[in-house]
Amino acid sequence: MKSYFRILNAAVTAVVAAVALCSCTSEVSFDEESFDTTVNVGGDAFSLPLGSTAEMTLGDYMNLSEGDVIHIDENGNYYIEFIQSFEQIVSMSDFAERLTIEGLVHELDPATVTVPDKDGLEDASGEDAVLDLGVNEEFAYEFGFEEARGNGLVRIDRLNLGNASLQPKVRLLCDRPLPESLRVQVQLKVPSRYEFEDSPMVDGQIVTFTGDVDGNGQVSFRPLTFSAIEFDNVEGQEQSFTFVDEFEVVHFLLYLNADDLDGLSGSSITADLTVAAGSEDGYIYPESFIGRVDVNIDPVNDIIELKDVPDVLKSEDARLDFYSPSITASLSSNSSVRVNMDADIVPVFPVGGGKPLSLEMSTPVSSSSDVTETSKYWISTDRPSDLAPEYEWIEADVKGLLERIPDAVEVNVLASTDSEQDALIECYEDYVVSGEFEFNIPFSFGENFNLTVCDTIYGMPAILSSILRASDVTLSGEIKSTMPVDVNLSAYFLDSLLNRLDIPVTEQPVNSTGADLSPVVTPLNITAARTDFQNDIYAIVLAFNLLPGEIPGISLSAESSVQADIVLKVPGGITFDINQ
Amino acid sequence: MKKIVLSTIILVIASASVANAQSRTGYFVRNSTQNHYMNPAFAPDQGYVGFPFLSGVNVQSATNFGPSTFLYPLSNGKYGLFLNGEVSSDEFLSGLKEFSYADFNIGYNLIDAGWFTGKDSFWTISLGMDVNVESSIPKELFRFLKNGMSTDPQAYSIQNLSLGASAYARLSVGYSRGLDEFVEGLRVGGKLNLLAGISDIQADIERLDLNLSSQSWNVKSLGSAHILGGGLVPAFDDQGYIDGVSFDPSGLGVSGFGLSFDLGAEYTISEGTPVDGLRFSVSVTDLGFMSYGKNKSRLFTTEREFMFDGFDNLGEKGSLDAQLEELTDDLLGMASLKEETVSEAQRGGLAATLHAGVDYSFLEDKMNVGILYSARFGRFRTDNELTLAWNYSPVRSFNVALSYSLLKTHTTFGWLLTFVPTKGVGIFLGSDYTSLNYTSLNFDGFKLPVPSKRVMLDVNFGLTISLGGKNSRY
Repeated sequence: MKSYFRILNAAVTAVVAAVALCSCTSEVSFDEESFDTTVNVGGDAFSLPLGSTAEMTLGDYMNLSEGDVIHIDENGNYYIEFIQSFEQIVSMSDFAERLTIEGLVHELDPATVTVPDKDGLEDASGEDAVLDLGVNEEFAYEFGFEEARGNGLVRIDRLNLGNASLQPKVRLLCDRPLPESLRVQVQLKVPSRYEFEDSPMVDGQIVTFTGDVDGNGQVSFRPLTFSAIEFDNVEGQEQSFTFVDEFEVVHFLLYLNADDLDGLSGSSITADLTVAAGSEDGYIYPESFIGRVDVNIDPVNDIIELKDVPDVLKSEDARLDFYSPSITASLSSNSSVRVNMDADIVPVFPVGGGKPLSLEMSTPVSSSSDVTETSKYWISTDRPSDLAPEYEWIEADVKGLLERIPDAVEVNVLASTDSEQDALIECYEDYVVSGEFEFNIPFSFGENFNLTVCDTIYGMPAILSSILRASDVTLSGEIKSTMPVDVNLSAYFLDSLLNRLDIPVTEQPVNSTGADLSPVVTPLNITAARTDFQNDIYAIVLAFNLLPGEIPGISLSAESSVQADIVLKVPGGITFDINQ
Repeated sequence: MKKIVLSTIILVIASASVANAQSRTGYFVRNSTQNHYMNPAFAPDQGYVGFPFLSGVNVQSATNFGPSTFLYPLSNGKYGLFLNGEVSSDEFLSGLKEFSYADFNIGYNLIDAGWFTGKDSFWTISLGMDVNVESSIPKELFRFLKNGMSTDPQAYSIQNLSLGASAYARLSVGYSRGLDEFVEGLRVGGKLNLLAGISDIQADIERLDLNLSSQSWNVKSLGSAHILGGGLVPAFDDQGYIDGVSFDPSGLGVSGFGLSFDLGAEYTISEGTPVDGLRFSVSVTDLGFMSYGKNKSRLFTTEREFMFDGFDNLGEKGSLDAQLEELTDDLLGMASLKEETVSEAQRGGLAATLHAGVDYSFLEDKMNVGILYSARFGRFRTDNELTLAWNYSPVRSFNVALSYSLLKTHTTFGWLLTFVPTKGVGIFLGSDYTSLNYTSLNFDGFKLPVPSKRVMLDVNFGLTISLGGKNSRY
């Protein structure tokens, strides 16, 4: 029995000892301080094909349509075009007033002659007896245009008159009836500058008036049309606008039939002579003149607002190389005077002013106020090889005028008549001077070009934020581009308030297409670095920054596009805390 | 000493609620009232009746993995999951078998009795219930979870991912008899088990092919499922796919019927031979079927293919979030099951088990050693075990047994203390798999000791009342 219990004791002890061998060799606590709930899934080469972006054409992006400012040519290329016109009236009415002068009215002293009898005549002309009143007098006629100088008269070479005539006025007094055969002849010597109609009365500077006497002793002379006054000028010398002309009554004669002497012999005939030149109201009115004028035309100050231009083209980040911009100017005038124009074109930006472009042009000269002549100018930095013959090329730094599209363009034009050129100026005329500036600015790639096209993908899942907080994320795949220039691709992230998140992302170049504009494929590989950021990601923005091209002058087409096939890669897998 | 006693008490308390009527450690115990469940030819020395409501509750969980399979110490001093980036893939995967499993079994005997009749006939009767849960998780699944896309492209073919569960009641009647008149030392036995099926559920992903690359993700799935009996009610979406299940206790009840047999034999070499006392035994249990009528059966299948190569016009059609939600729905739809028409009765799972052992007793039968091979033909796999056992019975009514399992785990040992008096209350206490290494899982101060390598919990406890009598063999 004892041995039985000893053995039993030994057996139980052995079993218990075996149980005692069991021990807790380790302890695992599941509290936060002892258990790490971080897991990594996905694998080292985790890739999720995200898909393809839509084909982003510049046309869709910029959402341009034909409008007032932005246009598309037949090849789909964009260009800016806007037109500014102006019209000014150059009135010559002031000259009509300032060149109106008082007419010549010179009254001589009365002259008397006693009528001899027939035998006592010394002068006879065939059957006519000639009685000389013995008048030979010089007198001066003074006039001036000083007031016209203040209106811009620089020089006057010839004054064409309207409705002016030279005509002596004679009245005879006699105590006996004057015979019907009585005629009066007045001969004047006029200044050489005066021009009259083509008439037998005129012989050089001598003008002979012959008139009949009516029963009242009034003598009617046929008036001689006074057409113009010529003025002498010496080039280089300022002209005096005060003139004094000398007239002379060469003779004053009476003619009558010798047979009528008997009735008048012994009587005295008194003659009143007045020499008058001008129109009926006594003034000499100008019709036109040849000379030089310096007339300032009202300045043109216009602002052309460039509306409906997408903000992307006007942003400070956008640098457009306007490779072949041009301005065409069309100046029209019916003026016989050339009008010189100084035009300043100034781009207006929200902040600061632009570099102005100054142009000098002039209007053509019209032969008649009924005819409008037009001059055309092509203003560009370089002369186009295919310039139309009707254009005159003006070299101007139009390229430097615009680096980016302004909010508006100021056009300031100062015009004045050409005071160095003789012109026929018609008084009473209002000449019309008009102009049109047409700006044609194709968008083109060049060394200064810089434009960014963005595609925003909204609604990013929350897992992306978790991934980026724990791991680098790579966007790989392919980019197809038909952009004619290289593109720099970058990306950035936005939170729900569309604020940009501070997550560094690498950039990469995208190759440009070739001359045939066929799509070029570039491998996509940009990486967003693991970052600790506060707000979750709501959107990702792919920014395609169009870079300056090496070959300038490639036009920007609405059909140029980029498209990306994107694969999301998380090298090393996605690490996250399952508790969160 | 206190630590030893305390550890022992903790183990006992932990196992107090469970009992196992089938202990491999106790297979070779000569006076066991329980080993006839493993071999119907075995009989104790006397009749017995199971203690009311405590005649036998069997809770068993078995996995071929443990906490150390999925939890790893990290450089920051903490523990982390196998998915933590610090845990190397090779280290994790090398700790897995081709198929991981987690099985769970509950057996409850309401009635258990055995008695002798005649010279050497032993009858048994028992009424009980079994609930079995089995799973099979292919290693490829873990390889996918751990490695993901380690290369581009990457392909996985996950096959035979399965989960099954069954519940049935059992009424067993057994008979064993010595056939010494024919062959000296031969004893045979058998049991007839009438089975009433309550529910049998199984879901299989027969094949899940994943082809992942930066160009596209392709997923092909082929799977099936069945719900036999009541208790689980599926819900369907508009397109007829299952989008949820609910438990309906009112649907529980007898829905199927089955029949199984236990057959066994033992042969002890007679005295007078050089190896007298050498005993050979072989048995097969639960050999049968369970059938559920077509009205109680619901079958489901899934065979779908999904390909995702990205979204067109990314970001253009509404938000990306909405597109991803649509993608997620498509992915989840891959696992959606559609009901099929049931045209005939369906067979439920029943796991037969084979035992084959040889033991040798010496020191006047006070000690014996043996080796037992067990093969359980489960729903998804066959469990093989080779157990070395040592028994010592200083007296016939008391036995100390120790065992060591060679196949499933190498870090456990088995033990069993049996006291079966000729008359009176008997008790047995033991475990086939007592781990030598434990990991204490601390949940907010509550510490649960779990075997480190494999979670093999198998504790045996029972109370019986011996009815006297005598086993003529002894």
